[in-house]
This record gives sequence, structure tokens and C-alpha cells, in this order.
Amino acid sequence: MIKRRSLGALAAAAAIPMGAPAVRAQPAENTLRWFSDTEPANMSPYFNSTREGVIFGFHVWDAPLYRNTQTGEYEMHLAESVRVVDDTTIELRIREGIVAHNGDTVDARDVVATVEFALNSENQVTNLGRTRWLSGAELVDNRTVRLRTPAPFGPWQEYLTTLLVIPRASLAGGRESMGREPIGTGPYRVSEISPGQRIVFERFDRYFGGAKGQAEIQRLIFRRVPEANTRIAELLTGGVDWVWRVSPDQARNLQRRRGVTVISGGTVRFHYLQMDSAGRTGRENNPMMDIRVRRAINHAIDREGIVRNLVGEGSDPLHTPCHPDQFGCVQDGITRYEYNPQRARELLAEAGFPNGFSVDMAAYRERPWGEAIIGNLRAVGITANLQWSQYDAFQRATREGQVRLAYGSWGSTSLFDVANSTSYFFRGSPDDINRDPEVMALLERGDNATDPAARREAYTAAMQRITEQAFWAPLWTFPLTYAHNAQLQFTPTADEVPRFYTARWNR
Amino acid sequence: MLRFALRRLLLALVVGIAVSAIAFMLLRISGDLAIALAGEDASPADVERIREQYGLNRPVIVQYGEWLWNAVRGDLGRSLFYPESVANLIMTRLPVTLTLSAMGLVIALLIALPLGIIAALKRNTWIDRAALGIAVMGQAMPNFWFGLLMIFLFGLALGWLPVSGSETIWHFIMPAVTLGWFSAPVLMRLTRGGMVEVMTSDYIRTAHAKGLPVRVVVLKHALRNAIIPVVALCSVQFGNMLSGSVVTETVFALQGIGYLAWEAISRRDFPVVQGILLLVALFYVVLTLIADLLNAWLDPRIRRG
Amino acid sequence: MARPTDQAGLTDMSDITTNQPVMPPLKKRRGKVLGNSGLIVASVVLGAIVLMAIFAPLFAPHDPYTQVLDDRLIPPFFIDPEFSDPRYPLGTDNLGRDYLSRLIYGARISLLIGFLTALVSGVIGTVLGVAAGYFGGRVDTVVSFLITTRLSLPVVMVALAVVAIAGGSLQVVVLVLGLLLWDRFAVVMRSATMQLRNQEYVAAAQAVGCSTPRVLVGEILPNLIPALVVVASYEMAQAILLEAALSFLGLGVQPPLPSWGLMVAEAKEFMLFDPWMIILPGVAICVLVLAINLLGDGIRDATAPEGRT
Repeated sequence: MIKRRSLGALAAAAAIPMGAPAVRAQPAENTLRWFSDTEPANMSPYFNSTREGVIFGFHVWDAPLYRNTQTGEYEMHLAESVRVVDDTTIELRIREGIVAHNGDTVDARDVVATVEFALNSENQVTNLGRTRWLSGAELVDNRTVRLRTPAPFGPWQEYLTTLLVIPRASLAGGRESMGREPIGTGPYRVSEISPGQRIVFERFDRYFGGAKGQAEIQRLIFRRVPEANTRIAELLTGGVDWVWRVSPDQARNLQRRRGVTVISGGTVRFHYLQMDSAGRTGRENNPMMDIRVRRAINHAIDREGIVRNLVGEGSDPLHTPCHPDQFGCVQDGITRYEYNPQRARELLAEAGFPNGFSVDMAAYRERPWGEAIIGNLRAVGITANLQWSQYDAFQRATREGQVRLAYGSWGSTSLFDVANSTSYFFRGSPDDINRDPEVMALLERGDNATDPAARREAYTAAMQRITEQAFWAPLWTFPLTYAHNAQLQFTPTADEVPRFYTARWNR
Repeated sequence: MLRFALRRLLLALVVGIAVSAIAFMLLRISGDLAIALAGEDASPADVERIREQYGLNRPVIVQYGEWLWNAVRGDLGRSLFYPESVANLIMTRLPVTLTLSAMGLVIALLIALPLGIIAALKRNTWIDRAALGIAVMGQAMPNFWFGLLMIFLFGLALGWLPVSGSETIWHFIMPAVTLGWFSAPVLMRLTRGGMVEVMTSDYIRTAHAKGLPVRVVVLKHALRNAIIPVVALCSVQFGNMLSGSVVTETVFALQGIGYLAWEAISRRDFPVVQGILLLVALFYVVLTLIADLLNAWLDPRIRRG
Repeated sequence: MARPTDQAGLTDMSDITTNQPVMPPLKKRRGKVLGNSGLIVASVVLGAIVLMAIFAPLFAPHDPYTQVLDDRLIPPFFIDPEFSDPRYPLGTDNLGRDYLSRLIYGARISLLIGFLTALVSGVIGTVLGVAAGYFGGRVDTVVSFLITTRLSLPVVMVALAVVAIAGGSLQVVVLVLGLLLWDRFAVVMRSATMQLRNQEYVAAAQAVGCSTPRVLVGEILPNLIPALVVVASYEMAQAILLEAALSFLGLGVQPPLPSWGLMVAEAKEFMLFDPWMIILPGVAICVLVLAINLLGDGIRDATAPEGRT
């Protein structure tokens, strides 16, 4: 069913055709070509954690619930009804007539099989986020399944939208087969994987619809193009229909081109500076342990200027360690640090650093903005040396307490709740470099409460404490900019997942 | 000769293993494969679970030993990210790099041979210097810079060539020029040197004396002799292109082994990195061997040890 | 990025070595230096760049690190007179830093990388090469194995792996490149030393009873210098280009240090719409590398017994 090109090396080298460049796909062919900078190595949503993989997941597979991108409401999708049985049990009744891409019928047995597969460590699942909140699943009858959680779990509805169900036939093949011959139930089926060349998705005509509805576009072609200029050049020459992660400067210039539409969409991603207030990198001579230094750094950064000039449209300066759109990300009563280099210098002098100091700044993405921060810090006398590394090395250094100043970015797993942002960073996990007992207690209270008002109250106190102590220098929210063929109707969503099954070509 | 070749191959294996040990240690010292596998959104607990599932909590030396034991038996292992064996993964990417390198070599020769011949014929004139200048330019430009400028000019402004990808032979022209021009100076110098040597030899003087037209003398007699070392060097240059196309492949979105190596390095997918390094080391040894054999076979004078 | 010239192995090396048999005494060569116009041009260009680098604070109109975000992406005067700004003759970069000043300071970093890399690799390669050439036998076998191992390592991939792990910085880049680029020094020094060892005056020195170190330092090394300078010039050029390639992949010298390679890499985001930003430092690299190569060629020609063949 899926074409795979893995000919012998020489044979394939000879097979690369002579002749004119490939015929350009046209809107008339109802095909959409999209390029991105990375490619999931394994197609299966349980074996990759890339953003592109999440997008594939939405197009090829389905979950019991679906979050309406306009209203934010949870809608029934694979499930036709959901019932909370008790604190730790949720019962799903699966819709009838769901057909997998290989023709099999999908029902509650596939839900159980998926959960059991993901929880069994022998299967070496790497994307654990989809099932880590579950302890098991049991079959009631062929259309009914009960999911068990180890403890009462507040955001279960949100997590039911990420529990993608894999048909049993596919699960039987394990990691490699699931990656090579993905079978789902979604609006698109994978029709071709040419490693390193392209991945082709065909509209699945027996799709059950559900909350996603039927797709319009017949064929999606994905290709990984690592270099941003190359992607833009392809867009301008008609070699691709849709790209994203367009930089603000490129966006500004692209806007002037005919035939190209540029749009920015908000996300719940934000950028921040973490400071080693707990002195994990050494207590001696560690300026970050001094609240005046942390406040000085907060005052030194020209958030407005950087947002206006570099980060671009759709971004806002940030003063909390969470995205304002997230539940519990209270903006009232917090301490705000306006841009004031003079004040920053005074604070540094008070702290005993009239001539500033030198510090390493770890970072792994959005380097030009990091450089702008370095420039801001330099203006108040702090010499920050960029320590650029790849994500794993950055993360490891943070977790092992080797980082004094870190410039990071957090996508909150696209969830609209501070339980996935502030609590992630301040509740004493290995990623918490501040380790403040007061904040930890407040967040724990907020996370474990089920009453929204009680949660909000606890989070308010936490936000006040964090900003007052200047544990972080929150920077700005992160917008995502898309550029596409002007004939394409495309609506961005706040969760960083483009939905091509709702896109269509203007005829 | 056979014993000589076998000794070279054995040496290649020893070198390959030495290289793989270095690579393994490098990749595992400060990177963290478990974090890379788990991805950016994973919690520390997830990472620990993955570390256990994949046996990454065992001592590094044990993991290396395991890899080596399998490699010695001809099993390069499986990628930790791709649903493929390393051998298969490399085989699917190799055609792109082979095509690119072959075309790069063709372009290098298209630049180097005419320039070298002209330079030799007009020895020590401004034409000689200009020819060398043109050849050397290819080595003076940062190649990603040159590649991007070509995309700008031929892809975007003029629209003559496709910007990226590997569907047709046209897609390979810009990357092959990027790669080929870089190799041109070496080949050009050798062509020129060889031509000068041959043209001043008694043999060609005789041909001249016989009244043969210059074109015939140059192309038929002189070039045939001068080209021997160039052919040999080509095999070495081919090997260099195979292992040196990382940046070019990134710029033109070609999914060959260069890009695969870079990707595997960033992800700490060590079986893949190991496999590629081993392959490149083997390529190097085999291709230099071919170069030496060619030299020896084509030109008995070189057989001196 | 390929490094064909160094990996070309034995065949390629002959390009340099055959022209480097035994050095005639220095006096005889002086005339050729003056007769070589390429050498003169290269020396002048290189000298200018070196002077600019050394006295950067005198030439640079601004502090290369000062960012003025509201003055970003101002074009140079020759691109768009209407939008250019007399304070910034060559415009400003992404963060509103003066481009001319960054180019001037960038020469420092790029030259430093080239020079230090050539130094590190030169020391390693010369020690190994001279040892192999002078002592021969087992020493030669070991050195030859080391050279083969080094040559079978793909330079770019290994440099990427190491820098990706150790983190990019001036020190790491210089060290990694230095440890990777010594092979040509070793090959050239080895064969040159072999030739010298059999010379009469070396034999004479040995016969008189000079100690080995004394023969090496007194008789062999001085005669290796021209070849050493030639190889060093190629390696310097290589190092500058490799640093640019590492920067392209985000792994070169770290900002805010302005190396030319880093400037090219940073400007690439703007190349489709503000191409001058990438062209200026790119051309600077080209000129520098060409000058260094020309200098190497010139010295080789000037010191070769019969001039260029």
C-alpha cells in the first residue's frame, strides 16, 4: 500500500531522471506542498516528539476528544460519549463505523491496545506525554473502554485529545513497522514515504468525519528543507505552497510580494531567562543569588524594543513565567520591571558590581534574539557569553545545575494551563533551577485543587512571589508566522498545529 | 600487489575502529541521547524511563563493546530514531550523495581541464595567471555563501534552475558547481603541471617536428600523457566530495549522507554516526588505493615504492 | 565542505613537495621575490588586512558591539542613498550594530583563527613529519599510520561532532581545527626532511659529531622554513573557511565576537531581501583567502629552484 523507495545505491543513482524540472503541482490539482525544517524520523506519534510529528498525528490519526480551535470547547470525536465513573476512572463509548486506512474497523479494543502498548516499556515508546497520565485501560465491551488514572487528574479532557488511537494491526508490528507503514483512522492516509525525499498524504475517502470533518484538499506533500532561505526561495518560485517559522524580517518583505499571503498566529510559547538564584552553580561569587542583580537584569532588557524590532507582530512583552492566555497566569498584582538601564546599573552597584560581571548564557534557539539580550546586558556592564548548544546538551546542563543564566523557550505542550508552564519550572523538578520552597508549596496547592477559584488564588500568590523575587526574567510571547500561496485558504491556530484538513484552494 | 591491497584494507578496518571509538566517546560524553529521544516537551521522569527502556543507563564502555561486537560481525545496528537498520538508511541516502559527487567531479573537470591546458599552453603569461585565478576562486569562497548566492541568482532572479531537492538532474547542477569548483584548483594545477612537463618532452618535440597540427599534438598526444595523474587524483577528490558535502546538502536540501551525518550528530543517533564514519573511512582507503593502483598501472615510472 | 586539497593524499601533496626539494641558500632567491607580481599584490592586501586588524580601534568608527535596535538594517551608502545614514557608511546589521566596525573587528577574529590554527597544526605536523623523516624506520611507520587515520577522518563531520558537543567558542574551534589540519604539514615535512637528511652538509654535521637535536635545529629546520610557510598559508586559508562553515551550522565562534564567518552566517537570514549584508563579509573572506593563497604560491615559486615549472 505504501510505496517505498529503497533501491540499491547505484541503481537509484542511475534512476534519477534526466529531463526538465518536475512539473509544478498546481492548485488545480488540489495538492498542497508544505516544507518544514525538520522531519520526524519515525512517522508514528508514539515514536517522535517533533512538532512536525504532532502535525502528522492530527492528520493521520484521531483521539477520543477534539478541541475546537475556535471555541476552545472539547468535542466528541472517536468517542461518542464520555462518562466520569469515579475519581480515577473515565469511561469512553467509541463511535460506530470508524474505518482504519487498511479497511479494519476501529473500536474500543484498539483504544485498549494502544494504551497497553504505550505503557509497556518493552515497546520503547519515546513520546510518553500522550499516556503518562494513565495507569491502564480495560475493555467493557467492544465499544466501551474504561481508562484508569493513578490519581485524580484535573486536565483529563485536554489529555484525551492527545491520546491518538492506533489500529491493532499496526501496533502488532512494533516501533519500526509503525514508523514505516503508518496506519491510522484520520482524514489523510500516508501513501508514500520516500526517506529523505518526501512524504505524501492522500485524502482518506472513508473518513468518519467526527469533529474534524472531511478534508477538502486531495493530496498533501511534505518535504524537509533545512535552510530557511531555500524554503523562501521555493515559495517565491512556486516550488512550495506553504511554509512556516518565517522570520519577521522575511515576513515584512514577503508581504510586499504578489501571490504570497503572510499571517502571524499567536501560540502559548514564550521566552525567558532563568537565573541560578539557588546557587546550584556555586554559592561563592554567584551574582545570581543576589535579588538586586536579578532585578537589574530584568530592568536591563528592552523587551519592547526587541519585540518591536526583532520578534515582530503577534508578540507581546512578558512579565510572568507563563503565557497570559494560560489558566492561572495571573497578571494582577505582579511586579513588573520596566526597561531602565540606569536603574539596572544602580542596582548592580548596590549589589557590589559597579563594573558589572561576566557570566555564561546557555541557549539553544532563536539566536539573534539571544544576541540582542547580550547587547542589552552589555549596556549595563554585564558581559554575557553565549554558550550555544543543542537542545539535549542545554537541557542536561540545566538539570545538572551547571547553568547560571539560561535563555530558553517553552511551548507548554500547547496546553492552556499554568500546570504545564509555571508548575513545570517551579515545582522542584530537575528543571527547576530556583527551588524556592514557598513557590513550590503554592503551585502544588494550585495544581491539586479542582475548584478553579482556589487554583487561581494559589497561582496568584505564586506569580507575585516569583516576580517579586525576580527568579526569572520573562521575555516575550512567541508568535508564529506563516507564508503561503495566496490562493490557499488557511487559518492558523494557537496550538502550533496547522490543520490542512480545514484548508482549501480558491477555485 | 594483492597483498599490498589487502594490507591497505586491513589498515582501513583498524583505522575505522579507532575512528568509531573516538566518535562514540565524543557523542556520549556531553550529549544526552535520552533527552534527544524524548523531545522538547518531555518531563524529566519521561527521560529517565526512556533511558532505562533503551539501556542507556548502562556504562558507556559496555554499550560501545556491544556495538563493536555486532559491527565486527557485519551488523551496523539500527538507528535509534529511524525505523531502519543503519545499513539500509545509508543505502537509501547514498544515491543522492553519489550523484552529487559524480556531478561535482564532472564539473570540477570541466573547469580544471580547459583552464589547465590553456594555462600550460600560455605558460607564464597573464592568461596563465587568469586561468589559475578562476580556478582558485572556487576555493576562496565559503561554499554555503556561494551556494546561497547561486540560489538567489539562478533560482530566484533568473528562474533557470530548481532551488532545492533531488528529483531531476537539473536539481543537482547548482550543488555540483558548489562542490566541484572547490576541487577544481587542485586538478587544474596538476593538469597544467603535467601538460608543461609533457609539452617540453622529446616525444612531443618530435611530434611537432613531424609537422602535426598543434591541436592534434595537444589533445591527442600531450593530454593523454598529462592526464594520468589527474585521473588518479579524481578518485581521491571523489572520496573527498562524498565525505565533504554536509554544508552543500544542507543548503540545497539534498538528503544525502552528509546531511544524514549532521542530523545524526545533532540527535546523538550514534549507530548512524558510527556507520557513516566507518563508510567514509573505507571510501577513503579504497579510493586512495585505486588512485595509487591507477598511477602505478598507467605510468610504470611511478612504480618506485 | 570538502577539503580536497589536504585529503588529496600523496598525489596532491606532490604539488607542493616536488617543488620543494633542497632549498638553495637564501641569497639566490631574493631576485625572484621582486619579480613576482602576485606575491607583491598578496603581500600588500594581506598587510593592509593585518594592519586593519591590529589597529582596529583606530579605524573603526563605532564600537562593534553597541546595538541600537531602532537603527537596524540601514543599507550602505552605495545601495540606497535615500535610506542610508552617514553615521554608518556600510550600514548596520540585524541588531543595529555598525557594519563597517564589525567588519574591521571581524578581521581580527578571522585572522586569529587562521593564524592560531596554522600554529597548532604546524607544531603537531612538523614534529611528527620531521621525526618520521629524520629517524625513519619504526617512527616513520607510526607517523604514517597516524597520517592515514587522520586522512580517513572526514574533517567537516568530525569538527561538527566535536564542536556540537564541546560548544562553539574561539578556543574550541581553534583546537579542533588545529588537531584536524596537521596532516599536510606532516606529509610535506616528512618528505622534505628525508631529502635533507641525505644531503652532504647534514651528513657532514653528523660526521663532525653534532648531536641529533643540534642537527635538527641547526641544519634541518632552517631549510624547512619556506615549505613550512607555504603549507601554513594553505592551512590558514582552510581554517578561515572551515570556521565560516561551522558558523553556518551555528557552531563557529560565538556571538557577539564578530568573525567574518559568523557575519556571513548571521546575514544569511537577510540574503533574499538585503543581499549586501551577506555579500560584504563574504567578499572579505574571499579576498583574504585569495591573498593568503597567492602569498603561499608566491613564496613557493620564489623559493623553488627553477621557478614555476
